[in-house]
Amino acid sequence: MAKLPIKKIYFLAATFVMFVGAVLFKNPFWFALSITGILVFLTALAFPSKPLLMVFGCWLVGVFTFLHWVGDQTDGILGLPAPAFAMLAGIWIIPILIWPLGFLLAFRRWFDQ
Amino acid sequence: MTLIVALLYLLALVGIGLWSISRTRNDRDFYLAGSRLGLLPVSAATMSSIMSGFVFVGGPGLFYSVGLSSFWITISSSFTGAMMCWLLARPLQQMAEREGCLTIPDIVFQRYRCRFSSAMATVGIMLGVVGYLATQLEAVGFIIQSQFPVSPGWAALIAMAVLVFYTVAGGMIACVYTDILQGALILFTSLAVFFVALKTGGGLSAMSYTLVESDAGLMHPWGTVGAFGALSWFFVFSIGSLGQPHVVHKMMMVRDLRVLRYFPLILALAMVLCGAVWLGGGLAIKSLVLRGEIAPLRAPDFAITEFLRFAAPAWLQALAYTGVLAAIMSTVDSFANVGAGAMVRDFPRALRRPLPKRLLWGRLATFSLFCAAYLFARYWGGLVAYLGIFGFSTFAAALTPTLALGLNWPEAGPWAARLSILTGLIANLLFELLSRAGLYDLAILPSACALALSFMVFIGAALLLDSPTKISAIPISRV
Repeated sequence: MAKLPIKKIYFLAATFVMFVGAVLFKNPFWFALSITGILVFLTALAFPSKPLLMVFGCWLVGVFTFLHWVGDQTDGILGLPAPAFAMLAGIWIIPILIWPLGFLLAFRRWFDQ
Repeated sequence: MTLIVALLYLLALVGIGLWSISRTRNDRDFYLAGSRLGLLPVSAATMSSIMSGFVFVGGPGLFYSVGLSSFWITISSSFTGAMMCWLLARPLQQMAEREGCLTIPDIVFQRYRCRFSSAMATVGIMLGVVGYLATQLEAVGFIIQSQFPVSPGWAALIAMAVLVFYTVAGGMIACVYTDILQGALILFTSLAVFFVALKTGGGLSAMSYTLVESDAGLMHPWGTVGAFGALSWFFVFSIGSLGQPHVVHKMMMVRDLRVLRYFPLILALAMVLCGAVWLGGGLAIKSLVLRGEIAPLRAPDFAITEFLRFAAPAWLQALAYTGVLAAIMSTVDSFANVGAGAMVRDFPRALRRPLPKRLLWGRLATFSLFCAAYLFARYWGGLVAYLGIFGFSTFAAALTPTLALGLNWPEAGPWAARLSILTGLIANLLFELLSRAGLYDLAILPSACALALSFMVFIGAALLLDSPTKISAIPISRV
């Protein structure tokens, strides 16, 4: 295995600093961003496709932003209140099309690594 | 009818068990199913070991208590399979194949060349196994209580007797091949329960309207536990899934990495289907109770059994109870195998005192793990789901940084592993005790705090205490 660039570890460490800051200052939005950062930078240690990591990270940030700023329960989508729909579609269903499907599409690259 | 279907199912398991006995010839067969698994067995085994009484009984029960925010626990299961493949599949499969590692403590020892880390990983596995077995005992106890007029104590005792009998008899080959049958049953049951829930509750729209009318928080993503609580669950169950020994252990059983090409996609789709029982069952029972169609439950963990009694036809009840039994048994055999292996093989080896007659000691170890789990379940006294969260987070805090980071960061050395495992174990237990005593005051849940602390200690110790030249000089596949 190639030696890991220490930069990746520093990015991961930085997201944990953000995690602590979010807890201490009680900011749930920064907390959500730090969790997304940890997921992405941890996975980046083993997977080289930056676009796939960025798409996943940006998607989660988008969903968390929506959940944080939009709390109107009266709007309904497919029988669910909008925030509930955003949570289930955005974090449960659609990520299948990003990482598991991305794993399949980028399999050769990962396998030959 | 329930009894007949359950008996047929148990007979099928016995048949597979007898077939497997002739195929179990050595330690590799016993612990790693001979390292010859293809896509279907490894997918079914992974799914079945994740799905348990925690999801089937605890999930709808927790939804009944706190609403949609409980779903943050299972929501990440749609993408964690891909993370597991990227971060863990290659090193685990290669270390099992080339270095002869059979268990997770073996991996820790081979990677860090540190007996203390391996012993601590073993202790973490034993503690987590007790927590998780307790969850399964409680779940079976609730199923038994719903069918027969027995007290909770007797129900848990009967559950223990059934599960001990089942697990002491089999090895990993039996586990893996019964998992295919169990996985199919779990998937079918989840889907059937979901559709019956939709029909009984009047559709998603009617059920969510009932919940929002009663308490808007019940259908909000942050809901009644708040944003920090919900996101803490998301953090622990997404990142922490990389430290679950009974799940990541399956990566050591694949015959070739090529097998994994479709694995994350299949696992994600299967987990989404299984998650439907949590969502559908929880939503339906809560809305039925709020509308006054069902009396309030005597305990939230009766949610799924009360729902089945009220809404499901006899054939589905029979199938659903068998499906729940399948989910519990498939998880219990994985845990019993991992826990007994840790007690009779890994811990004595770490202390340089290998045991003779490992089969006999293995059976005694399984029995003692169940006894500890029974006592722990009796002491706990909370919801099944919270017990499951404790078991999950014990594994997560103790093992995730050591495996997910350590196997991908060649410069990390034994100090990082030692301090991280120790911190994870102590912090998880301490924060949980403080929380139960009302002395824990942070915004995030104790399990999330323990996991984050364990990661930070790992990174700090690897950067400050470990010697990069010494460790990086050895290629990871040879460590």
